[in-house]
Amino acid sequence: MSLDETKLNAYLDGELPTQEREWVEQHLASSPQAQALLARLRQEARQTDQGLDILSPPAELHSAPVTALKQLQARLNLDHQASSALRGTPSENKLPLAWESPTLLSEITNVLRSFQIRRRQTMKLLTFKHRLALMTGLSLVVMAMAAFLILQPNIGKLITRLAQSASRPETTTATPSGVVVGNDGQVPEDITPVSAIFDGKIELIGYKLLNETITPGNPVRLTLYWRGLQPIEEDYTAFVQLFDPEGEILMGFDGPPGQAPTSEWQPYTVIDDHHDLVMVEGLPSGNYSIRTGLYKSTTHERLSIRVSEMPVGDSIQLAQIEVNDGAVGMPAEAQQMITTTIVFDDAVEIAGYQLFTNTISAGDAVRLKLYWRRRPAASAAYNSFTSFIQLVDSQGTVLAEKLTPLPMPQANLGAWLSGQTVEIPYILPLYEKFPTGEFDLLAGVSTVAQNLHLPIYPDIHQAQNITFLSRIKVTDQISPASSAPRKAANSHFAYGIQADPKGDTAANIEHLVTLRFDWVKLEMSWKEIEPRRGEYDWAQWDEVIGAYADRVSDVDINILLTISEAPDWVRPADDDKTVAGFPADPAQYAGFVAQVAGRYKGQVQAIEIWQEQNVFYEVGGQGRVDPAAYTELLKQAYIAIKAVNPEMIVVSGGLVPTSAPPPFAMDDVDYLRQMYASGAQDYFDALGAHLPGFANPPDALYEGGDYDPTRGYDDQRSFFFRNTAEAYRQVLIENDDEAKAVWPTQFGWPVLRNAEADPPFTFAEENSARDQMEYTVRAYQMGQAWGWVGPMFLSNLDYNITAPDTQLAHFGILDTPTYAMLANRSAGLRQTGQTTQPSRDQQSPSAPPAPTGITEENTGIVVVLDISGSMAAEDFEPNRLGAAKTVIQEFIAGRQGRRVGLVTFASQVVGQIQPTLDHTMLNGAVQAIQLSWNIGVDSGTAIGLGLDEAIRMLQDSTAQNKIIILLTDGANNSGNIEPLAAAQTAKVQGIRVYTIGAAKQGPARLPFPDGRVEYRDSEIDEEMLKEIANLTGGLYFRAEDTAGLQEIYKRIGELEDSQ
Amino acid sequence: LDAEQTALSNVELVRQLQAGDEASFEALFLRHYERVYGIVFRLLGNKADAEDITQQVFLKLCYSPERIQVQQEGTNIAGWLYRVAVNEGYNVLRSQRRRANWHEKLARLWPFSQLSGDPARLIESQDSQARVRQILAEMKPREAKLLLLRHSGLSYKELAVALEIAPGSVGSLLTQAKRIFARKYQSAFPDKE
Repeated sequence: MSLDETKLNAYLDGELPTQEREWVEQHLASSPQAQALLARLRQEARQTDQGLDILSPPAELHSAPVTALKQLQARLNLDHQASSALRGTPSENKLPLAWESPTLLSEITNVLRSFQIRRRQTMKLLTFKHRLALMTGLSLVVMAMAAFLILQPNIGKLITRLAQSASRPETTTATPSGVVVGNDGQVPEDITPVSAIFDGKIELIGYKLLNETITPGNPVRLTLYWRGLQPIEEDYTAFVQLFDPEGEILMGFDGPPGQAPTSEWQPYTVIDDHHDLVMVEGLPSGNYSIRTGLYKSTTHERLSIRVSEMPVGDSIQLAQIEVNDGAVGMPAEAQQMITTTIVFDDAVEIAGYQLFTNTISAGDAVRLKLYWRRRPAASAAYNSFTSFIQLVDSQGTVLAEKLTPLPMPQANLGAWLSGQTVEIPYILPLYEKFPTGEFDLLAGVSTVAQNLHLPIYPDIHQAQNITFLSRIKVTDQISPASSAPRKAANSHFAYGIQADPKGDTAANIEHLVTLRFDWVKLEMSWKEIEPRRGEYDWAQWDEVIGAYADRVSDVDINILLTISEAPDWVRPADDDKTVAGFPADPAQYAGFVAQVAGRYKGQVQAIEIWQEQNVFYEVGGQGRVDPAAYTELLKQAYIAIKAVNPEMIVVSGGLVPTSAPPPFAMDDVDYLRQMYASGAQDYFDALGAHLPGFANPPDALYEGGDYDPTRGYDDQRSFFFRNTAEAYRQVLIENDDEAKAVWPTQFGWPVLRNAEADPPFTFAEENSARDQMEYTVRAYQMGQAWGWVGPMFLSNLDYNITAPDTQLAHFGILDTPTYAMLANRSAGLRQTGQTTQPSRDQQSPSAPPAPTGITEENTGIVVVLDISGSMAAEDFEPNRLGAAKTVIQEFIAGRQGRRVGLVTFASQVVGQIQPTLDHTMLNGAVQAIQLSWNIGVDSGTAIGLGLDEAIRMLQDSTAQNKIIILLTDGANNSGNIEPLAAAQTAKVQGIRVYTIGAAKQGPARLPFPDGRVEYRDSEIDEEMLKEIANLTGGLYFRAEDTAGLQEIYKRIGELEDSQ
Repeated sequence: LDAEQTALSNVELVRQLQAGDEASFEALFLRHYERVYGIVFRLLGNKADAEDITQQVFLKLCYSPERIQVQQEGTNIAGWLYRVAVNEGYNVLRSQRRRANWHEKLARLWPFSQLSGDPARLIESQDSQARVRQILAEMKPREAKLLLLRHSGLSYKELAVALEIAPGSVGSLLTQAKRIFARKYQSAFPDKE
C-alpha cells in the first residue's frame, strides 16, 4: 500500500475505513514528506471549502421542505390538469387533483391565451422563463403554466384544444382576434394563398386579412404565414409596408417574421406573423396597398422572390385596402415615381426618381428623391461617391446645386452592396430673388477622391456625364403661404432625436434631413443662460434655434426644448447645490420659460417642463422629491407659457422609471398618479416620458420574477421600455386623460463606447451595435403602432462625438449602424423594379395538398423519430439519425399513393407534418431533420409525447389502416405523457404501432457539439417498446446496424402492403 | 407523515413509489429536499431559480419513478436525485448569457433600484459569488460537479453514483479538482491567504 495524495485526501475527507486510517496515521508519524503533503492538501481543502462556502444557501433563503412540497403538489396538479385537458380524457393520475372545475379550466385557458399574446412580444426573454418561478399565489398559476408551455412546441394547438375541452367542443377555428394561430404545421383554410418563394429557402404561403374595409384610426389586422423550406442559417428580417393610393410609403414594419429568428425555424413549420397596421385618421380615401419581403438582417440585402418559378422582384404585393372615411382626399403633391436606368461608369445607376411638384416659387426648394442602385460590377476603386443635382438655365449656367454623398462603406455595416438601392432625398433651396422661368434639373455623380464626374455608360455621347431629369418652372414667391404656422400635432407620432446644442448644428441639421426626422430635442440649461439675476446670454441659443428653425422655408424641423437646471441664486438656501434643483419660487421658473416661449415663438414648438423630477438629483437633494411641488411648478409654467404663446405645446417632465426608495426617488408611476392628485391634469398638453431600455428589447414585457439573476436590470418593471410606456398610458386612461399623447422625450439603448465608462453604464456592454439598431427601429415602430405616442426622441444623435467621456456617449448614434438603418428605413423598401401580384386563386406548387373530405387512400402512416442528442451515436453509419433518415426516405419512396406523416421529438415534439401525399415535400423535410441538443447535454426523450402527436394526426383520418412507426434509442425520460397510456389510446383508435429500438449492444461513441466524446451504453427500454407493440397489434424490432434498420422498414412495409 | 414511513428505508420508499404510493413520494421529497436544494442553490445562487429547479428534479422522480433501479443499498435514489440536480442546475448555469459582475449590479443604481440591507455588503457578497462561479465555470464540468456535490455533503460512494464514475476514481479526481480550485481561488481572492 502506498501513501499517495489520493489516499491522504481520502484520509482528510474521512473516507478511509478504520484499518487504512490507522495505517496512514502510522505512516504519517514517521514521514516528514507525507506530513508536508498532508499540510498542502489540508490547505487546498480549506481553500476549496472557503470558496464553496460562499455559494451555500443562507438560512433565510431556504424554504421549509414541507412548504416546498406543497408548492410542488400545486404545480403537479396544474400540470396534470393541463395534460389531461390536452388528451381530452379523464385524468388517471396517481396524485389527487385539487381542481376539477370547468371554471378553473377556463381560467387557465385565459391565462394561456394572454400568455400567448405576450409570447409574441417576448421571445427573447422567454427562454429564461422555465427557470423563473416564484411559486406563490396566482403567480404560481401563471408561472407553472408558462413553464409547462415552454415544453410544448405546439402551443397554439394546445390552447385551441384547451379551449375546446373547456367550453366549445365543436369549435375548430382560431378566434378572429388572430391570437390563437399555432405553429402546428397547419394553415387556416381561408387564407389568401401567395406561395412566394424567397431565394428558394422561405415560402410565404399566404396571408389572412381580417378586415378589408377599414375606418381610419382602426388597425388593419394582417397575418402572414411563412415557412422554411430548409434549415436556414441566416436571420432574415421581414418588412411589411403600407402604401397610400399615390404609392407613397405610409408605414413600414421591420422585424423577424413572426418574431422568431429564421435561423431557429424548423423546416416546414408554419410561422404565423401577425401585424396590426394602424391607419391614422385623416387619410384620404382610396386603395392602399400592402407589400412585404425579406432581407438579410446583416447586410440588408433583399431576397429575390419567385412565384411559380417566375421572378417577381424583391417585394410582393399582398392586398389592397380600401379606406373609406367619406372625407375629401388631400391633393397628392408628389409625382409618381419614375423608373429609369441611367448608368454611371458601370458603378452606380439612377434606378428611379420622384419629384415633388415641378412648379416652385422662389424662396422655396426643389424636392427630389433619387433611387441610387449600386451596379454589380462596381469596382473597389469607386467606393466613395458624391451625387449632385443642379438647376441649370438655358445658357448652361448652374444657378443652384446640391451635393449629397452616397452611402459610404460603413465599418459595421459593410459597403453599399452591389445591387442594393438607396433612396436619397435632395432639397435644393432657391433663394428669394431666384429668376423666374424654366430650368433643367440635372443629376450626376462624382468620385470623392478624384473629383471626377462619372461618365454615363454605355453612351455614344462620350462627353455626357450629367443626366436630365425634369423641367422645373420657377414662379414668383408666394408670400403668405410660407409663414403659415407649422403643423406640430401633439398626438401624432413622429420621429425625433436629441442633439447637442453645443454640437455641430449645421451638420446635425443635415443629419436630420438625411434621417427624415421631424423633431429635435435640445436641453436648455437655465443657469447657463441666466447665471446671475437678470444677466442673460441668449446668443448661442438664438443661433442654434435659428439654424434649426429657419433653414428652408418648407422643411419643418420642430424643436422641443427641455428646460431645467435653475441657477443657484434662485434656489433655496438649504438645498444641495451639487445636484440640480427647483427654484425657491416656482414663479421664477415660470417667468424664465415664458421668456423662452415668447422669444422663440414660431421657432420652438414644444417645451418640456423640467425632467427626471422624481429623483433627488434633479430636485435639490435627497428627501426633496415632491410631486405636489412639481405640479405647482408645472402649473405656473403652463399658464405663463400659454399667456405669451398659446400654440406652444407644454410637455410634462419625463420621469425616471425607477423603484429606488426614498430619500433617493419615488416610483415614477406613483409620482405621476400623485401629480394628477395634485391637479396637474389641466397644465400639460402631452406627457413626457423617459423610457430607457437598458439591455432589454423594447417589446419585452416584464411580468415578475428575475429572468436572469446574473443581470441586474431585468427583475423590475422599470427596466423595460414597454412596461413603462404602457404603465403611463394606463395612468392617463385612469384619469380620463387618454386624449393626451405620451411623448417619449428620451429613450434609447446604450452601446459601450469606451472601457472607462461610468460603472453604472457598463450594462451597455451587453448591447451590441446590432441590438441598438434593431431595438431602436422596433421602438419607433411600436410607438407608431400604439397610436397614442407623439414624437419619440431617441437619445441621442451626437453626444458620442461631442461628449465622448460622458454617459450620453453610449447612446449616440452618429457613425453607427443605427444611424444607417434609420436613414435607410424606407429607402431599402422602395420598389424600383416591376412586380407581379400573384393570382389569388393560384395553387401553390409546394403547398401541402388541401385536406379533402373524401379520401380514397386506405392507409395513413406516421413515422415517429427520436432526434434527441444520443441519436448522434456512431454505432450506425454515419450515425443513428443519419441512418434512420436514409432508411425512412427509402420507406417513403415505397409508399406511393399513401399518406405518410412525420413527427420528430426529443424532450418535446420538435416537428410534425400531417400525413400527406406530397412525398417530395416530405422527403425534403426528412432530409432537413437535425439533432436536438439541449445546451450541450444530451436532451431528453419524450416517447409518450411523440406517440401522442402521431395518434392525434391519425385519429381524424378515415383510413382503414392506420399505423405508426416509432424509432428511438432511449428510454422515456421526458414529457408528461406515459408511452403506455398513449399506446392505450392508439389501441382504442385502432392504430397499430410498430416500435424500433436502434442501438448496438454495448457502448457506442457519442460525440457532442462541443467536441466532447462519451461512450454510452444503449438505454433502450425494450420492455416498454415491446409492450406498446403488443398492446396495439404491432411488432417490436431491434436494429443494431443500418442494414438491420433497412430490413425492418422493408418488413414493416411488406406487412402493411399485405394488409 | 407518520413515523412509520419516515422510518422506511430509501429502497422501500422507492419500491412503494413505483407501486403508485403517493405518501412515499412525500417521504422521499422531505428526506432529500434540503440537500437537492443546497446543490442547486450553490449552482444558481438564487432562491427562485433554485426552488424551481429543485421542483423539476422531484417532478422527474414523480413522473418516472421506474427509472430508479432498486438495489440493496439506499444510495441509488440519493445518487440519482443528486445527479439530476447537478445536471439540471448546470444546464441552467450554462445557458445564462453572462456572468455576474459587480458592474452590472451597480447598474441598478441607475436608475436606482431595490437594494435591501447595506448595498455595499450586498454587492460585495454578490461579487464573491460571481467569482467563485467563475472559477467553477473555468473548470471541467465533471470536476466542478464533483466539488459542488462533495461540498453539499455527498460521500465518495454517493459521488460515484451521482456522477457515474467508478468508485475507485472518486478520490483521485477529487484531489485533483480541489487542487485546481484552490489554485484558482487563490488568484481570485488574493486577500484571503
